[in-house]
Amino acid sequence: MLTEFFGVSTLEAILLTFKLAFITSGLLLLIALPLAWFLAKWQSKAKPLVMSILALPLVLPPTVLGFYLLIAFSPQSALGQGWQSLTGSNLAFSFEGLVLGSVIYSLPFALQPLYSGFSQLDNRYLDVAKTLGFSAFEAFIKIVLPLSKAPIVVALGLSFAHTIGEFGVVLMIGGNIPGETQVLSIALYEQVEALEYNSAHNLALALLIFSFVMLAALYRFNGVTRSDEVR
Amino acid sequence: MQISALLPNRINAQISLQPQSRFIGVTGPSGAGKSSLFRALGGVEKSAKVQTPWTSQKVGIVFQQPMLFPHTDVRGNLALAQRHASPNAMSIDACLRGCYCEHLIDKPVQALSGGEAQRVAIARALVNGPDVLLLDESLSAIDIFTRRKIYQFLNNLCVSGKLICLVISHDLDDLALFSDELVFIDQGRTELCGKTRDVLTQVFAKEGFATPSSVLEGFKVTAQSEAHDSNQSQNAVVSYKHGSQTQQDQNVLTLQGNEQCQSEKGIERVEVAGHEIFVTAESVSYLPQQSGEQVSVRFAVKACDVSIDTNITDFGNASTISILNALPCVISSIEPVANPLSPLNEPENNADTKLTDTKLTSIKLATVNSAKVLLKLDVLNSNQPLYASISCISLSRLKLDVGMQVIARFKLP
Repeated sequence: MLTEFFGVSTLEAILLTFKLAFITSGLLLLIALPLAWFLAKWQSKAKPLVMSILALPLVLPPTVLGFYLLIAFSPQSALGQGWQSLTGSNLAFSFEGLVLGSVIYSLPFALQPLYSGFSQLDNRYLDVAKTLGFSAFEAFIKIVLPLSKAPIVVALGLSFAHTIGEFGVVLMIGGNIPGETQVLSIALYEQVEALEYNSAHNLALALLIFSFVMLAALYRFNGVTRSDEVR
Repeated sequence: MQISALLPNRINAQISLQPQSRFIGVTGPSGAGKSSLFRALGGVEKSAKVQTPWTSQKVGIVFQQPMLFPHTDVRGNLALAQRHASPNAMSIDACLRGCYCEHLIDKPVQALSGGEAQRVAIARALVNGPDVLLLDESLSAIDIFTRRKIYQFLNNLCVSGKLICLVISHDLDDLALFSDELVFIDQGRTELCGKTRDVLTQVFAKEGFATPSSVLEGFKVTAQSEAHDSNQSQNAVVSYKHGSQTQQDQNVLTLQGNEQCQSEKGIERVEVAGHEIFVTAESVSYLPQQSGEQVSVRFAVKACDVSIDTNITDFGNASTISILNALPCVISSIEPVANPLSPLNEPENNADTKLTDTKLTSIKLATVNSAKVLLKLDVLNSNQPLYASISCISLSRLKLDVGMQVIARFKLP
């Protein structure tokens, strides 16, 4: 039924997009959790500078970021060269390159909710945990993470949804290789280019509904958690 | 026991305590640095330089805000505290019982009232098995009856040598009853430190309290000595209960003999300066003791609960009033008391109005703009002072004066 509705190649793009979004948001959580915790505790004059760099993908045109990433991924650069010597394949125009680009592009969407969640966490919970004999790591796992359920879910949801809607960066570093780097937004762009409006309509509507449901669920979850806290 | 804590620009406290002190009260005005001191002693202030005698021991801290972990319920909070509990830590059940919160075990943290959450927070700290427990106004939202019972429980742990408690509180009655020693902190420094009675006296003088409390210590009278006393002792209370009253009184006592024995249930006797004082379990706290020593207890008497009797010949025969407790005393000073609510009644100058000479006080008091006076009484055969707050009317009616011998009669809670 889905094959009839979207077509085989579009379905392939959908699956690839979801695979990319799952991997990206999972990786982002692993990176952003310690990074946000460090930033929330870090007191330094250099902090605004570091925060600005990490937030750059929020305001930078995706094509600018994609352009720089494309240069960094090329076999002439240290990163691209290192990758090629390790894996034997090119980082640019590969799924792995796409993942790396997505992680960088969506980083602020995972980092910001976690950073503000950790910043607002009452440090006295950690003081209590310390006096109860918890190590810093154990307190983070047993106290901080459960208390930061809402920011974690929001970070996951936002980075997932943002990766689904990615276009500019993917186009620059991934190209348009079906089954390898062709994601939903690129597939839609191609359908419009080819004047396949029916397919484009189906895909656009599906993306619209998905994004709306995702955001509504996030807001609802956030609301429920907040009212729990108030109670 | 020497404790010092230094937090740059916040506290610089040096506290010197007796080695046998196990329940230490800490008080002082708001913003004096008491909480910072506890945070430093609890090891949660990174920049603090602290020296304590308990470096290798486990220190627990309970803040005024209970800080129960909201992602789990009461049971979950206690389980988290048990993860790193000392081998000799009390069981969860014992801690819950001691803090009167057994019924809260399955409640979510959000459903607890302020007082309930404070009780659970203390239980959680105890489950962890600390050697030293720092309570930073941790019982402030608990009703007085439960609070006193929890203090009793903590005090018993201290007396049995299982715990050292440092307690911040603004309730001087609580501190008077339970503290072995008292510390007064102001502007980040230790202003006063020493025996509770001495520090309280200075705090009352400093802060101008209208109704200070006196702290009295005595030995608990055991069953055998009770029997001995009832047969032989001629002291006041005993002779009042069993002794040589009028025939009418004796009839009453005989008729009500069994009833009187019954009515002593819940009443314990404490010997102070050779006189028996009747107390309830709630009105005393136990003192740390060596093995083989008599059981020492402490109780606090509010100055407003002390009345003065000038009929010293009838020490034990006060058969017409309900107050049981009496101690023979000598008035050592009389001071006017300022009414804190009335700015018109401010004492003119304590140094000038303190009456320590032997002139008739009523004449001098005519010049004092105050409704009440505070008598400092020296209990005979004891170095324990007792305070009585009485009206100027009573002072002049009874013609009280410094050096006069009187009987202080007082009620205990």
